[in-house]
Amino acid sequence: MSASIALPAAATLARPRARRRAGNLLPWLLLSPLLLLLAAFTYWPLLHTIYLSVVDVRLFQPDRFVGLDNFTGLFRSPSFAAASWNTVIYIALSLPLKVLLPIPIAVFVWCAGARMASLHRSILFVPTLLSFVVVSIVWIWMLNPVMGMVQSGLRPLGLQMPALLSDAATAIHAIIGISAWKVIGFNALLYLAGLASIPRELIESMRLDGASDWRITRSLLLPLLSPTIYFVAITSVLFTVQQVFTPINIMTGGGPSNATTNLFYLAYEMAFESFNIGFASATALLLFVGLGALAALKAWLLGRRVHYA
Amino acid sequence: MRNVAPLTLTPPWRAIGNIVLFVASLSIVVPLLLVVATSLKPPIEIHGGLPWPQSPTGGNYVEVFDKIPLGLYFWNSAATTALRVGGQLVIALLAAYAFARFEFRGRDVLFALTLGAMMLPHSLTFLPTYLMISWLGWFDSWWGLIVPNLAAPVGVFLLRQHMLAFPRDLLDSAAIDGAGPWRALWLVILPNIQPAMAAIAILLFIDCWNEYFWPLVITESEHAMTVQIGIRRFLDAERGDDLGALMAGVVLVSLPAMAVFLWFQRRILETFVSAGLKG
Amino acid sequence: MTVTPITTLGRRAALGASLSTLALPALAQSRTEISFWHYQTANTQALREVLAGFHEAHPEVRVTDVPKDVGTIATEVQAAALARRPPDVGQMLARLTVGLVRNAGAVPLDSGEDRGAFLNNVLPRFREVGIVDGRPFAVPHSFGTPLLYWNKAIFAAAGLDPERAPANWDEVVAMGVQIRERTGRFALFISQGGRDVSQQQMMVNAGATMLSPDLTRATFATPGAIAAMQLWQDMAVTHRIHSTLSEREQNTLWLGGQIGMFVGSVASFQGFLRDTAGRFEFGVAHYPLWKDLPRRVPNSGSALMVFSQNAPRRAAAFKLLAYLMRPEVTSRWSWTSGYLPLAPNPLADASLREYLEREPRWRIPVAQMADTVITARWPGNRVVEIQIVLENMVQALMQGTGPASTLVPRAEAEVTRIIAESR
Repeated sequence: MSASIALPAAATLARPRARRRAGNLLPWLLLSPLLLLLAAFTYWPLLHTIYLSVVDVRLFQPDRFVGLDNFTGLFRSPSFAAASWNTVIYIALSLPLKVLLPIPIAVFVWCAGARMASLHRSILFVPTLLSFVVVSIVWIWMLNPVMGMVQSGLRPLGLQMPALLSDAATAIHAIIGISAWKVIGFNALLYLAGLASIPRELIESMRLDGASDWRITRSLLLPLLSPTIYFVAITSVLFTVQQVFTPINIMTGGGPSNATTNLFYLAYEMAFESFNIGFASATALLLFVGLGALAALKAWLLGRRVHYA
Repeated sequence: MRNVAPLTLTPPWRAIGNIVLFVASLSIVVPLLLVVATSLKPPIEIHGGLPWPQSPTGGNYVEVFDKIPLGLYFWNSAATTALRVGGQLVIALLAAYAFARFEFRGRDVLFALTLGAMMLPHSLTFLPTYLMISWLGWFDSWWGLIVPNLAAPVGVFLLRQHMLAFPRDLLDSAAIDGAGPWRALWLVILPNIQPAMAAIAILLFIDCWNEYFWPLVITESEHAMTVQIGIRRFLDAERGDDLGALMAGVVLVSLPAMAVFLWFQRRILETFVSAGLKG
Repeated sequence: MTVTPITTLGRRAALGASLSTLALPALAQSRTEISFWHYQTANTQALREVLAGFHEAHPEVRVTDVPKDVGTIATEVQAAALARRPPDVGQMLARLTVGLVRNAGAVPLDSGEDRGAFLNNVLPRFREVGIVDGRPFAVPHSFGTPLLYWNKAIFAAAGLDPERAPANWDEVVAMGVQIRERTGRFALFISQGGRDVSQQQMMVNAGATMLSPDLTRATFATPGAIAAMQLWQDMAVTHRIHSTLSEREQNTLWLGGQIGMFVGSVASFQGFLRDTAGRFEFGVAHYPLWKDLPRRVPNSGSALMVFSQNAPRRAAAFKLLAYLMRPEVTSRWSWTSGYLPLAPNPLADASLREYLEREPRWRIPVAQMADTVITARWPGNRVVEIQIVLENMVQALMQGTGPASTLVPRAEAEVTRIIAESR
């Protein structure tokens, strides 16, 4: 231990960004719990899923290798086609709501007076505090066409609201809307954090040059926000399908008639309702590959337009 | 945040801005107020006309504990959340320190793997994890809820950011005083990183308290179920005349996260800003 | 080798002997603990009373009952069997018995000491549901039969005779339309608690058979069944007398007195008595006839199966089954829970006769026992997927995605394909 005291002192003076050279085990010791957990509960399951997708798991007998049979069986299942198509819809329709819509909201909050901004920030954060279970229960009750709150408001006007969650045409949109409702506030706050670092002088000088609101937004705010927008877009692509699990499970169970299921929900159903481990793993793998490809595509498309300050 | 608006919008945009914010706020606040209002309605008024109770009563809040073992669910949630978040913080702190303060072979690869784990969707890992937990005998137990989630890459990432931005002179003076890296962690870094730890703890707490998917998979009896699973089961069992109790349950289940937020409101938002999510 | 003095040996032996006598009473008191997974969420109290009786009769066994959800219990048993911790006794949907024998390691019920003597306490017609490959693997426990319940107040408000229920499906539609036109309410709710129960009931009643005798093909897409499914679609889409809201919401509406008729199992009877008290009076009628065919309804129900792989626990499980099948126990269980009595001569039981005096509506399901046929038992290891195909078929019909003449044969082909691909 004594030998290492002199070394760092000298190193600091010599190299400003010196770090401790660890010939010892300490960093490994510090990292070991994290690494063990990640290995056991993230990376091993990843490999195991790949394994499970190409075998047939049987009771009291060893697993049997079946190659791509699980995948071909899965493709023949009608639920798979619906789930795949819905996955695309969930992502495609959620992106504008979750990525773009929070931008003007953030800008408007940023431009509001201090007290109003503080109030809006708190309100916008509330849906993040609520669990998705609570949000689903609230919206089931809001949207119930016979006894729900919206219908109670419409009934005196003689109107009848449609059964949004029980109609195959509208159910998925209702869930997309509800999941956006939950997330928009948080994303707006992320954008707000990005806007907070813009220096006032820059804006004032643009104003003096006669720039309109739109001009300022387009040439200054958006480029400076682009890293955050990028981050929100990528995470939305990766996590939307997972986020809607709870509303689907509580509100529609994947129906009516497979209208709201998606590949993540299908994997869950295959695993815990049909108990078809091979199909569930195959679905999980396909979802991962699909999302990975989509995220990579998005990263490539957007990456070229991101400006780092 | 500044005291005066940094950008004053010209008239059409200002009006539009106000309308947009008003609508957004209303869409968030109104449903929640209705929930609270319904939770205070006596049974006769539940399906009645006015949104707010004529004769408000706290009866539903008592009744919900009769209908479902909400106390037990709260206990399960509180205990597993406290243990899990505590564990996550300790593990993330140690790991972040290792990544931030040391150089060793493979450090960057391991850090990339940690970040990669953050991006991996549940779909890929839930089934083998479920089988593993079952095999370990931890199915339907607190262990099953806590252990698989003890690694919190987001915590590692944020804490490492903070540590990297740490003023060097503090650490160097500790080094000169003869403190080894371990003691530097305890005596120097830990006291100063508490605001960030608190903020991360709050985020992890909210994440854990509100979690649904994993408890759904891994619990089956009342002795392990969390409040989210409990309130969902109440929804299934509810027969239309329990709506008031259901809403009371919804309010109760949401209170802890709300309370924690109100307490630490500024801190959370500050941490986001200073963690440099600009990229 | 050390030579131990005899005195030391003697003392050790004495110590050992006295310790073992301390242990013996402890051993005598140790009980075999077995787990009993069931889905009697509506009748848990009644079930626990029965189990209390068992504990008195057999203090050496302790049963822990675990209530589960009817939709997932089969999956959970299979998962548990795979993880080597299956329940000892499970209440399973009778039509999944074949699949569970293969996939969950179910134990033949005649492999115990009494060689399954308790099975003689069950009506032979009901016993068939548990026989797989010639051996009994499941014993019926909670058998129901579908009934038509009707809300007398709504009937009266619609100008219909509140004491007269529809006798056949055409009358159901006609009365339903009248209810909708005169009162604006939904007229009918066909309960779909078990994924594929109600559609099987309707199709079999319309003359179809679900499976070929060799259990390799689905055979339900007969003209009669297609017409019955088309009727169901018309009720939802054309006549709009059947709501497409979720099961949960429709249940709430029915209990709130907002739906005219409910088609569901006799198992709901006790629950309805409790939940509709003071709201509305309901009548109980036979499952509607299809055209001029005699009534033929598959019995919906559960059967008990044993999954223990450990000999003492298996013996304890057989004791539980023998107790549960005692005629006085099944009769009492029947009228406290609402399920059908299973004993060969149920009216021999005084408590049951007494109940029928008190509750004459219950004569209907008892009389309908004569019209039941064995429910189709899906083979192979993908039984739940097959159920889901049928569930989706009805959902698609109710959404108006296509006519029954397309959707029903397609579902039949899908089920046949899954059976072919199953083990």
